[in-house]
Amino acid sequence: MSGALAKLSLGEWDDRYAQLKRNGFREPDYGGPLGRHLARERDFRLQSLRFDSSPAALRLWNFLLTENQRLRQARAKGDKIVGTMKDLGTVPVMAYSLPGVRAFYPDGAWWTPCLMEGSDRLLQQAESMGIDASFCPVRAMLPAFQNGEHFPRPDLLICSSGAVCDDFSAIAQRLEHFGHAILWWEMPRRRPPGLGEISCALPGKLAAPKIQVDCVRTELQRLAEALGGLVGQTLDDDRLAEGIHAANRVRRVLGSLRRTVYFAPAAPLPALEMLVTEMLAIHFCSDREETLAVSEELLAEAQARVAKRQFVTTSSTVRIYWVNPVADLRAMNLLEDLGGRLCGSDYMFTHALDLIPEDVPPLDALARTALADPMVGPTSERAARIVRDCRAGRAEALVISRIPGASHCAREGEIIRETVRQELGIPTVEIEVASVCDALLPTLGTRLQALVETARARRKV
Amino acid sequence: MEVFLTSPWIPAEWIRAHGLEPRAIWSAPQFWSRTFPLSAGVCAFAEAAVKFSGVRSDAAVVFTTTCDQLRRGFDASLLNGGGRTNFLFNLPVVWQSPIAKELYRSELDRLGQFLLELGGHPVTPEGLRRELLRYAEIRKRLRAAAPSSSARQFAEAVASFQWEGAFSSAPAAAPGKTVSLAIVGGPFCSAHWPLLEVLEAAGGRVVLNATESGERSLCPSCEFAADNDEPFEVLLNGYFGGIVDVFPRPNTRLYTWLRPRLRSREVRGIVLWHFTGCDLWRAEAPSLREAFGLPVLLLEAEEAPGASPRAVNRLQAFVETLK
Amino acid sequence: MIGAGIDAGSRALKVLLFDAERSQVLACGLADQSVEQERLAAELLAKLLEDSGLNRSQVSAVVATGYGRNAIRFADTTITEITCHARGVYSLAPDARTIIEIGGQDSKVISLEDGGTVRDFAMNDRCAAGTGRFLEMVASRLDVSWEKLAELARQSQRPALISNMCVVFAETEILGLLAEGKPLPDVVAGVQNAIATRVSALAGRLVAPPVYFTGGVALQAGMARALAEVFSQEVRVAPQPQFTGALGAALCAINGATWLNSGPAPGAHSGLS
Repeated sequence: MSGALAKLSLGEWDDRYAQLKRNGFREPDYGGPLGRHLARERDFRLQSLRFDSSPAALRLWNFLLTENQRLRQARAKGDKIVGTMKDLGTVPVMAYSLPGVRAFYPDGAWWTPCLMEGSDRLLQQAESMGIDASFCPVRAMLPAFQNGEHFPRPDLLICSSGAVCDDFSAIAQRLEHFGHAILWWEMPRRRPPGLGEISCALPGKLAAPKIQVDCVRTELQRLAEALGGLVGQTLDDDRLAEGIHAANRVRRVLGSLRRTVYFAPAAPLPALEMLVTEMLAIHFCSDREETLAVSEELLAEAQARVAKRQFVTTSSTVRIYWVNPVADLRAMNLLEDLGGRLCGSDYMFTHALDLIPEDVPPLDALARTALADPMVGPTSERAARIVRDCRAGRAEALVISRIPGASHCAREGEIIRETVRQELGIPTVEIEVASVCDALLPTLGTRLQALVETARARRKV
Repeated sequence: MEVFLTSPWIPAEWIRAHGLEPRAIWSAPQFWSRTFPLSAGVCAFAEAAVKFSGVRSDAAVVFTTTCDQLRRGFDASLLNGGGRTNFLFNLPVVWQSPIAKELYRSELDRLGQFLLELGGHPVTPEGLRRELLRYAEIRKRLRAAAPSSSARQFAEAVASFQWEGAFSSAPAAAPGKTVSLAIVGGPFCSAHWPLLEVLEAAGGRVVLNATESGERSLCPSCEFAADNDEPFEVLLNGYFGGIVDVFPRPNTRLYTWLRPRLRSREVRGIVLWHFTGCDLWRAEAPSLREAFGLPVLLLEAEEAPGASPRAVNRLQAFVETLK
Repeated sequence: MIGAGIDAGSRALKVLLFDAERSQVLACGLADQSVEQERLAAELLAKLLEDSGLNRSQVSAVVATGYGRNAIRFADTTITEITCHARGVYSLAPDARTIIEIGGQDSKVISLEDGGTVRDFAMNDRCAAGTGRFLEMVASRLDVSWEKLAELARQSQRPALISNMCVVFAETEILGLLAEGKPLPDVVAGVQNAIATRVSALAGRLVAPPVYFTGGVALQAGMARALAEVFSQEVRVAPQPQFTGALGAALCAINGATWLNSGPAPGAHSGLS
């Protein structure tokens, strides 16, 4: 196996871009040099990140970083914009089943302070709106709604509540206090079926009682009516079935990509690009068809690299399973700098990666998918899936990334670590990654490096 | 057998009608028996509930889904072997949704099954009716006494009600020129009552205890409009319609309930009482200020209950600024 | 073969020379940390070599560990203090199964397999309440020496309860307790208990006997007792607790443990400088 493929800095990528263009490189209309996002959007963080060198990765980054523009263009052309909050994967499938509707996750604003290295001042503004640093970085969403400088104000805001994280629930309620009407819907806390209850199979090898599936289905029916009303159409079963089918195409490609990358002898694509790609799955980055194209290109790149034995890490890197997304993307570069590589991930939305059933009525299928959210059920079930995935990916270590201020992180880490310890006996570490973690890099580095050392030492035994 | 409840929205009458003893967990003598080493971000109340369930395996503990801390606290309690005697009650949040009441109904049924497994007896309509009438009467008397009672005695009276369903009178507060205050928030346990005295010593008086262990918990109104009303429906409607708390979405009922009381009792300041790690209450501080135009003091319950110098200082300063 | 270990801690820099052939520590030294860590480390290493009648060329490898390890650019490699303390303690106490290390600014609990390999570990995440920094603050506030603190704690009849998780607020709390007339020994013992309590929260279920306590704070009499109480088991102080990190680093240097280090050489850009 040859040495690892080098990653590129922003400046190096712009040089490469110029070279690609000279050689006739073709790209979508949202394409261009990455450096323009720094200049135009002031995404200063791009200067500290290192990127994969493939055109597929360039397309991915350009796709991600042009989402706000895409939403504005959609608004300008008369599309309806729906802000879907907290369900992380189900409601956008419904929204995209209708023509003239775009869905996006305002929750995603949590990356903005990272990308802009705080120059956007969203977190400070959130504080002045009464939501301070004791809440998770999703609080950046609040001032983003008020100042309108990032995403356009949605025509409809939908938010799940119930068995969802407190931070988000509190922040969304505060948003409503500011006059943004929210269509709330109930997410019951998933539980295993009790004695005498009819059990329904959910994606991800889970089960829930029929009464809960019925409850969520009824709620989704209410949302379907609201979405349809937005564009004067009926979101019927046929449309939903088509939307599910299209969403599953994306999910299939993502599944193949994850297997190709995570199960390869070394990583053909970096951890950073894998995190970003998985995030696209939640709401298709406001363009479902393009998400499919971007994912297919990445998959082709990964497969080609595996075939040619070209990797971004060496075969001696430690296989690490990563739990929870990071506010500062730099942490994913750091993982690989210190000798780790991803062999699996759970970024809190594994239900958005599983296939939506197509052998049951569509709303029923969507209800089952929504209930399969790893954050909605017992932590032990999330831990069990992590254990299964660790086994499949031959994980040698586990990282749990705590999100600063996120209420669910306080307890679940302990439960997940204990389960992994008992079932697999691999070392684990919890780290906390702030939105801009420059000052914490030595601390984070020590933890990740210690984990890699521990895993390597165990190889020798 | 005792059944400890972590929320006032789990009907005590339902527990009693099954022949078991409902108790508000925060009133249990052992509840705050020792400070725990808390992991960062873990709520002391939820942790106390988890530890309590491990110590009192002879009793049952009903957790609720109203917050991450309790939901995941329940998960943690199972690690300690609490599977047989702990229950997680799914309280509906989106109360205006057509499925919310049915969710509450189905959870009451499921809780009933659990209570039977614990050794309770099946509920009879007459038995349930009797409990509903008794509890409704006590609530009515306590609600009537609320505006004029001394804060400490009222807290004791509610605690007695939540502990054993008994009524004890709360004498009226002595007249005097004091600053009227409201305390709003999560469970305000007996271990924290010294703070009421701190406020009084500083010249304030809590005229509205809108905590989980105060007047707000008396909201359920299980009244029989007609003699032949089905007791279970009265229970269901009374409790479901009486959830006044921070977790429902939207939480407008909380504000609707607070507004007339703050006004009629001439409240000049609000103490927002919450446990460290409680995002739901903490986030309401600015909204409370904006809605009512009153100063709001955030007071965090610390790991060790009681009146810490820091808390005392803040309360004294708050009252001084209002005087 | 001689290996050199440098433990660049937050409060003190420790250097140790280990002779593999004779299986013994040749020399060790300590200096208060400074901004110029690399120069300090180089000077201390040079002094130890001179005192031992050795020269630099006789040292087969230098491993740096600790908070400031990446600043020691002349080290051949860097290895974290988790691995180094584990190696160091295990070499002195092969029965160790759990190591508690409380340093100047962080605390760690390390779980070992039979054979001394690290099985798992936990590190404090966010504050100084479970670290030596808390004791330093108290000593400074009370205007007593580190040693005097231990003496005071021994005299305690009824340790005070320090409830605050934050060292800054705890300082206020301590002043309040003293103002109320709480005896000084009880306050100091309370601080030791608070640190032990924080460490027990960190440890979770990682603790299995025998438990060894190392790091600078292990030198403070009373701390091991406080840990033993919260863990409800014997806690032994490792021999030479301030040097177990440097010892482990020196052992790694001798064992050619460069395979452990997968990152770039110290000082190179990794986002860590």
